[in-house]
Amino acid sequence: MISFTGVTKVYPKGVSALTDVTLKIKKGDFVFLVGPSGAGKSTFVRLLLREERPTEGRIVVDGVDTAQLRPVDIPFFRRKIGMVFQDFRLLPERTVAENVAFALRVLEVPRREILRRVPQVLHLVGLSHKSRAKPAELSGGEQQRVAVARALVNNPPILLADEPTGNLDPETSWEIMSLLSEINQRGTTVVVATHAREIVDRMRRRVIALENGRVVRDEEKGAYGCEA
Amino acid sequence: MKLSTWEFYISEAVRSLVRNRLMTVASVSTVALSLLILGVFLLGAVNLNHIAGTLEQQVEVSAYIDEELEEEAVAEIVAMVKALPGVREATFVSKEEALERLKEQFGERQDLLAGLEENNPLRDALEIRTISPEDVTPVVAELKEIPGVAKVSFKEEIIQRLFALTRAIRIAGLAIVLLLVAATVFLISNTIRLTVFARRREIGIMKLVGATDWFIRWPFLLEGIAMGFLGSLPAIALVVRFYVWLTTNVYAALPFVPLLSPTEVLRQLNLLLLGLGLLVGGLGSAISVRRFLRV
Repeated sequence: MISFTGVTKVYPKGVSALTDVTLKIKKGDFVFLVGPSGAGKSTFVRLLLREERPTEGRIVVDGVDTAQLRPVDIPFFRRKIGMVFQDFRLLPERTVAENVAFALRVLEVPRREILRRVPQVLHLVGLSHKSRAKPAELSGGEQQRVAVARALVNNPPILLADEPTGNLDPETSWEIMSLLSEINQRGTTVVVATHAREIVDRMRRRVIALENGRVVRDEEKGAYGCEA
Repeated sequence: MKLSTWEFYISEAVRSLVRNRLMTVASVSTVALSLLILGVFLLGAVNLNHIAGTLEQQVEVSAYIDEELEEEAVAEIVAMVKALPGVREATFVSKEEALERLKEQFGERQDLLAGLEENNPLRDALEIRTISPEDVTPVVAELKEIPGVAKVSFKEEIIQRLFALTRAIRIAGLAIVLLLVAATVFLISNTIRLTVFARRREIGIMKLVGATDWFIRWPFLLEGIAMGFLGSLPAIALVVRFYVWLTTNVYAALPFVPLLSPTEVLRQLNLLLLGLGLLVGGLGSAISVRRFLRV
């Protein structure tokens, strides 16, 4: 589903963010991407979204070599990856249902289809009863669920979460991770970049650890590790 | 493009126009003011052009005829002149007729001319109109070659001044138009820039979920075009009222000033103002979308 081959990213000022990263994430995998700040997690995410190009190496996502993408193809490429952020990124003046529907409206999905899919995905994240609420009326955990619903509503093969629990208390964080795990069980490939050591240790999933731009560890049923 | 997509664009544009209503009002007013000035100016320009054209057609060349000539010789000269290329009309005016005209011009004070009948100082002349003002110079040259033509005079100076005036108006007009258009485009692009800024969150999400660049741009372009449209309406209304008022008064007070009638000019002018409003709005937002959206 995702493969990095010898990927190196050097920023114009000469800072090298990733060095010779080679990894494979298979369809249906659940992967934690861990490492201290500045280890290269953000660069990894940006390369995956094709917000940036690697200086060297090859990135293939769902059969698409990102180097071959023309600028007009990028929006269509992005539709393969549902994205969740630490700061939720919801539209404050729209309701929960509108926020989720927005993702479909900008993709020109027919209205009937939107009306069918939005309640489905809100049900999946357990927010059916809040569909008319505005984000400000929700707790942090609920807002993140809305963000997850928005990321999933277009059925992307990959869900990419960048510090999804960074703004949440441990209890809520755990709920969000369970939700992501449930989504993974339904067949979506899930990649979570995170600092949440306890959760990573408890979930016993594949862990890829980055440090100074290199993959220092990649183990099935791994833990966060002691050094960070 | 689907209908629901256009609904989305329009609702986004309206949402944004309402949200930044102060800037919207400012931009729409600027468009209206610029187009109004432009409209009034264009009306002035087309009318001056029209007046200049009318006057140009009235320009005539006078050929004075040798006093000793017999009537047959005079008739021969008239025929020759009429046959010259570029001549539209040639009329023989005897010195008696010329004196009568002079008397008419003097009106009440024609006693000043008393006694001139016996010793008329005026000369028989041919009054010639050319087909176009450019024909004047060659016709004058030809006339001078005809034996029996004693003197040729024409209003060269007036022609030259008219030409110069028309040219100056056109150049000044172009400069003013460009300035106004630039100012309007600038203001609209500034408003759209604020809009882009106000909506950066939505734009970010749209990019994230894979909206195409054009999908993101359209609402902004529509917003600019809408501002141009809204501005052109009051401008057109005011220009129409102004010109109807002006022509009514001028026709009544100064009937000899050949202003174009409202029906002759206003339809085209209104279409031009409307088109320019839309263009300026679209252009202004296109600049901002290009520079600040970076989609």
